[in-house]
Amino acid sequence: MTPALLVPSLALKYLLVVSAPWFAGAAAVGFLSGRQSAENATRRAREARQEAAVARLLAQNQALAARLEGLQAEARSQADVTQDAATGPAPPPGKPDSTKTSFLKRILQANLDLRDSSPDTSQEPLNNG
Amino acid sequence: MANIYHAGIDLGTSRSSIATSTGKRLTVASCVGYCKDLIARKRFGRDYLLGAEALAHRLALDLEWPLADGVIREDERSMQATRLILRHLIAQTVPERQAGDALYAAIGVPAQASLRSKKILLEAARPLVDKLLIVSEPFAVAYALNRFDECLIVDIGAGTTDLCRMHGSFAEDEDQVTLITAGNFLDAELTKGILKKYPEVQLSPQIVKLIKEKYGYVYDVAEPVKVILTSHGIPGEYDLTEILHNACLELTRPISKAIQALVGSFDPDFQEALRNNILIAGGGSRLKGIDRAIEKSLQAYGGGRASCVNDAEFCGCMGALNMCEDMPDDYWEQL
Repeated sequence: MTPALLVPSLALKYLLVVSAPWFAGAAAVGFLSGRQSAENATRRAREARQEAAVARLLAQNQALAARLEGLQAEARSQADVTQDAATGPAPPPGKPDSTKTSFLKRILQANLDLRDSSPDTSQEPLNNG
Repeated sequence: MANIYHAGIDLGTSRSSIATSTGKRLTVASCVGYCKDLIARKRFGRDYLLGAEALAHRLALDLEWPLADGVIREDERSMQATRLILRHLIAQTVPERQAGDALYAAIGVPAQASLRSKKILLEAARPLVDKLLIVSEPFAVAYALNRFDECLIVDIGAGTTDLCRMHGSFAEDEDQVTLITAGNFLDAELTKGILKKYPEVQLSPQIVKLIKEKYGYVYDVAEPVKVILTSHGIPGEYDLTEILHNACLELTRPISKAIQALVGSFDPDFQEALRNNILIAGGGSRLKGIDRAIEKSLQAYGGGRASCVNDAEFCGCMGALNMCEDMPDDYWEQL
């Protein structure tokens, strides 16, 4: 076999054994990295959209909280006015309940009367509340 | 430094309860059993037994129910028995009380208890407490529930049923009613009904009470109540469904009538509110369906709504305890 005939055969073998897989590998890597970077871009865009949505919801929430606080303050002031008009101002916190104090005073009085009453005239019922 | 303890006490015909500022609560049967003879005394190592223990050994004891009439009976023995019950309740729930410590208590009595019976109670409790308030039982219930607005308290005890009309201010005489139609009346009706249908059956007050507490009901639909009783010592199953139902209805009729009397004599603008806020307390509130039975019996008078309190056993003494704790110091000083 002459060397002139061997050269194309070697070149072909080299092309088939070495270059073709390298090219195929390079193409695959290129394809995958392209796809990855496309996915990354999509994810970043989605994250940006989500962050924007969260910021928007946060702002709305703060606005609603402020509005609720305003409404509660308004309701409180209206209730105070109604109560003042109907029953006088509510007792300050920490003070004893005036209804209970009034009952207790009457119970005390009934018990003092009981102690003062004569045992001989005691068939009548005594109201203790 | 001396401590001040508070106690709310419900001295009941059948059971007595206490709730104290130490957080402890206790209920005992309101009975004292004195040893019949030396043999019994040697057996128990004491002169008397109290509550459930006395009931369990009643054959060897002379049982005393000092509050059988709803209030303390007017004899020395009943006074002494009441003191023993009170001493036991206090000792069990305020064990940390030392000499020098003070105990301020409130004791519930029937709404229309006489002045005399209240004075006897004061006398009985004097050696055991430093300051004492006597309060109406249904009012104590209202205080426990924090219900001072338009409502009607029905406290069904063993000796009495007490009704109290609340209207945001102090309840006066005309706002309160005491009926003797209560738990003991039901026991008597039940005994009568059973013996009428089964004359040979052997009953004791404890057996009747157990039947009532376990099966007592007042609504129209119920499971058959079949109980094992003895006749000449031979056990047998007896159907008490109808008897129990009729006896329980005998209890609710006069209560509904009294409710209507209190509603009917109230300010017409508030009658509906009163009729629709009926709160049932006391041992009788445990009868199954009593709220519905009272509602049903009120239909003839224009209807109404009734409900039972959650803590029937301690509601009254919790109210009395709350009163003690809310009472200002200068009020106590006046007693």
